[in-house]
Amino acid sequence: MTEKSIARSIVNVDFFTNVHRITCQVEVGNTGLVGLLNDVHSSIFMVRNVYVSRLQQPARIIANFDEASLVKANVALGLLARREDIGPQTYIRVSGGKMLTAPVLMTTEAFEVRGLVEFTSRLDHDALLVGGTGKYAMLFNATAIPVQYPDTSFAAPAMFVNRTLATGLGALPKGKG
Amino acid sequence: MAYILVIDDDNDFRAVLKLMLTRLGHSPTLASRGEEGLALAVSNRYDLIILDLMLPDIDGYEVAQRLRSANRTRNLPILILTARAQPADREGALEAGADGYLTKPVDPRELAAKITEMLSISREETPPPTVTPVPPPAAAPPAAQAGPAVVSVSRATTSPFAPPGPPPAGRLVVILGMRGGVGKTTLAVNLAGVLERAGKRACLLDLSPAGGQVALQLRVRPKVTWADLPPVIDSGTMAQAIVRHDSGVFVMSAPAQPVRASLAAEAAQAVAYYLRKFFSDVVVDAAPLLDDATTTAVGDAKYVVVVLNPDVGSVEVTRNTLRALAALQVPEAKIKVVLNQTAAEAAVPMSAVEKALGRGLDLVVPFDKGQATALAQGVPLVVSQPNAPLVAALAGFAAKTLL
Repeated sequence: MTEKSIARSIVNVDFFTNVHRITCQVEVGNTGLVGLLNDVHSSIFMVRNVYVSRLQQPARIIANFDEASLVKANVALGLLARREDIGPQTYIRVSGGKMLTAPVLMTTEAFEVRGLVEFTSRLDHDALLVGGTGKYAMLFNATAIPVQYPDTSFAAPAMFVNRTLATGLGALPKGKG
Repeated sequence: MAYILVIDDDNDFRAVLKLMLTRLGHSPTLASRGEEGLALAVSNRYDLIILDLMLPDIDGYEVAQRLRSANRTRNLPILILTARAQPADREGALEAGADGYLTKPVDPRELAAKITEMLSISREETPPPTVTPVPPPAAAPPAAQAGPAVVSVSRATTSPFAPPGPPPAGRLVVILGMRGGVGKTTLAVNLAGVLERAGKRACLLDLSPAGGQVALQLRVRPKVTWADLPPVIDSGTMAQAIVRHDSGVFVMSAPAQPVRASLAAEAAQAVAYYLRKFFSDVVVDAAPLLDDATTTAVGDAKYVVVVLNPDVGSVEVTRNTLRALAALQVPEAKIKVVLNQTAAEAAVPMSAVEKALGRGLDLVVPFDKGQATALAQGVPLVVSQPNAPLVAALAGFAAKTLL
């Protein structure tokens, strides 16, 4: 019997709930962070080296923990410093065709997120919001603005957005992403 | 070889960093907690501190603040190395006193280059004043981003600058002198130094398009000036254009070579906004003309300090300057007139100056023979001779109006 190897790696992530910023590390397996977040068999996930800030003072650390559990349903955003930390391409792209991009604005009750979505043939709003089983959509070169604190913004080359918290999605004119 | 203190709670990262720094020929000391790092920093001599923001006991912002407030470590270069990559984090680090900012995961070559750059700049300028760059942004925001915290300063745009938040608490003090040679830059540089010495977080902004006089007086050689600011600026791009002088004063320079255009009004407003956000006091060495940038700064200023010499031409120009300020509806209460005696003997007596201006002088800066040496050596009097008459006069003025 052959043993499947599970490569583990550590990814630095900035998670946001509607009121807190949680900067932490996540240990991920072969499916990467996208696999962990979109795994429908678990509703919480473990993080470590956790530093918590309030949304209105995102640079001020109010608490830190060696380990913590986060509830997927309440994690609105996940920001990555590197696109390659998302996970293997096969878990991100639905086909091998040429990828197209379009700028969109995705809203939740707490955030306005502008960024690029990737797709293969045409931009399908329904598929982006409710298609498939994954909880999170991916936006690239994205910026999130907390609605309550619009003078603050958070930018990342890759951003997970919790689709179950989304209130709307609109395509922006090219160049407005 | 440089002595480098690493304060980071990640055991693996510390080990890698130790190996890397040793290979680069440096001598690293490792600390895993903030308090431990502070104790090491104040009891030993280091050339650079590499500091994580997320530490288990006190965070890196507080470590940086405490390093800046301790005499022994106040000028020690601090490089922040953290997984926190948001503009707010960079702003916080800048406000706490950091000089460089890199985000994890970091490219070893980029880190090595940054360390070498910070060490070389620090050494080049010591013992004469040193300059160290403040944090550059690790990642530029999306080019077409239209978030409220990002300000478009394109000259093509006609929309007024909309501050992304309430007016910041920092104060602008504009030093104005419409006649060359009145000592405007000298007063600006030394006033900023006086404020910094009094515990304020001071920044000098050189708005003159006629060549970087502030940079020349302080012997700083910034790679980026306001002329290099991109059409869209945010706190990150601002941070790139600010350098820190060894006196503790931060500087945003004018281009070294004269340029045709001043900073546009909207850009000046954005620059002033962010500087007032970063610093408690911003001393503006204004251009000798009422261009868009100068009038914008004058409008935002807490005080407008009009500088003149005791000679007929300077008095006449100042009288007209005061009329122009009145026409701009600048409140009389925020105008301060300062007579700067740049020669041992005054051509016009003080009483005659006051009579010609139709108002009293708020300050008379006595002739200071040390100023010629200060200019030649590139070390301002506030640093080389803190008790010099010129510095004492400015300190008295600051105590009455700003402290």
